Amino acid sequence: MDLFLLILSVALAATALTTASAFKRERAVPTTSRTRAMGRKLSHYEIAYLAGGPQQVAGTAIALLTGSGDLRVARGGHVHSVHARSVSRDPVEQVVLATVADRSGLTASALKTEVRRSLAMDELKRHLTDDGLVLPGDRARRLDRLAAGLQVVSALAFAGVVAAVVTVVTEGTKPLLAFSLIALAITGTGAAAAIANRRKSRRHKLTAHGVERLGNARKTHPLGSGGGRVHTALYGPGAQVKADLRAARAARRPGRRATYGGGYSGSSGCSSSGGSCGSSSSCGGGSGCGGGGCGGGGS
Amino acid sequence: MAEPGARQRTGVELGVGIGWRAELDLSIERMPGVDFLEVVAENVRPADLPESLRVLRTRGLPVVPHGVSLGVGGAEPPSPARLAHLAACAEALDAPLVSEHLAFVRGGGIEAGHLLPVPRTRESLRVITENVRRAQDALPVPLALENVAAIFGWPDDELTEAQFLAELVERTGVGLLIDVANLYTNQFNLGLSATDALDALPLEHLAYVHVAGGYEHHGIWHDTHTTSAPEPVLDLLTELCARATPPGVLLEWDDEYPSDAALGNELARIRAAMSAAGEPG
Repeated sequence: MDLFLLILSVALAATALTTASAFKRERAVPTTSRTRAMGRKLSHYEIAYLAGGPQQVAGTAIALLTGSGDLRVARGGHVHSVHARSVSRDPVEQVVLATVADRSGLTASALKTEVRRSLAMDELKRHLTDDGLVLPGDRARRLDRLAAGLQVVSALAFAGVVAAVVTVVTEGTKPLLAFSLIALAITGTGAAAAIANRRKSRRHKLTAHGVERLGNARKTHPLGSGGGRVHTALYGPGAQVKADLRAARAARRPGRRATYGGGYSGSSGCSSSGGSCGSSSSCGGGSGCGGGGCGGGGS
Repeated sequence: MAEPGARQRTGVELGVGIGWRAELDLSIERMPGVDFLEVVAENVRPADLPESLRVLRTRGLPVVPHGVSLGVGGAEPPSPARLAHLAACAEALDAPLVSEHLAFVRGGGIEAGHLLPVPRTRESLRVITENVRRAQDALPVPLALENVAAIFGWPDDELTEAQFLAELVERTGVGLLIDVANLYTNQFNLGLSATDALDALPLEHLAYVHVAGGYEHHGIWHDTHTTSAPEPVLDLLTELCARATPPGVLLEWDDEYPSDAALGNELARIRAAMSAAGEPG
């Protein structure tokens, strides 16, 4: 049993390392694409795609067009056209406006589905893929298969951990058994963590360079740093309001100095965002935004 | 049921308002300078009012149910079911009054699908007076009747629309909802002077005023409520304000809704037209 567990632990660790290496290879992009993407500024819709895919792009377009008065959202999430609106040159916005013009009163979720399936969205994805920021479909599928393999490795490693523990209890601790137990535990945990991380983020859809550009955008525009286009693209339409509410709550908490979490503290979130603080009833009058700006201590 | 006194003037100061439409619910909730609302009674269920109307009522904004299908101008008495619906709307909205049209909408079970002008004869006046009284008796709040936009007139008319309305007001005490866009439409299409009508109408019974836009097509003015009110309509509002102080003035916009900013601008134009006559606006 000791020998079997040793062989299993070594084999699973080797498989996990090979899979991780294959992951890295698949996410690598040709140098020419990387260079092309590095040389230009990404549009807010491209950033939205990196942050949340087609759904985020559609949501961002609806939010921005509503904000500019080119769309109207009514209660129940129904989106209505606005007569004599301005003409957009952005292909995604054109799809949103054309769809609503055709079917005014569509729910926002149905509208997002239409926009997700549009040629403009395909074109946006193709552009980002050509620039080496988003993985091509075949690579993403290969990564899916590797992830499935990693899942099997994780399950087997945890089964091995159980078997090793049972052996330790029945036969006592031996050096080989201890090594196998530790190796299996590390392999199982590492693989599970990699799968969980992949599930909760869109990293598996992006190339390493795409992840880097997304990270840079988030550093430049941290959550709560204002309700601008890029902020909406990165975090969604309601993110600024939620950040303001969190900041206001934190500021009101007794005996605690509010820091507003990284980017908010000391930033120009309040003054630059205008509407998000100045006109929002959620903030107005609260110690988070009223009067003294966002960076100051509350309570 | 309305007390006899309630048949008289509404006596409610409304201000400047806008017609509530489901498409505009959040826009209206955000819009500054809206003092009151009007909702098409046929579009709401009193037992299940739209959330937006409940919110706006909570803020203290009066909401007037505006009927479009009662047909007090018909030969038949108004339907008790339609009157009950109007009454239920008024109670659900805690409305200060209810408004309808002086119009003929059905006959012999056939719906016209339009707000048609009534034959303005003495005989017709007698029938419509009785219909209005029945409606007033069935409603818990005062009733106001609106002049309609016509693209034709009946051949045996004995009275002008203003004379007809004045007689009806005198006999029933019904309030007046004067639509200056409809006056303009009648002037444009039928050559009926709008200012003469304003001179002849008993404006002391004015409940509120409608303002709306439309467009001319092949020499006919279409009162569509889909465009900005043309200057001549706002000039008529100024003319009206020079003769009486309207308790309320309401913008009607029924389709092809523009941006919130454009609607806000339209309300500002209405206030400016009122101010031009010395009204506070």
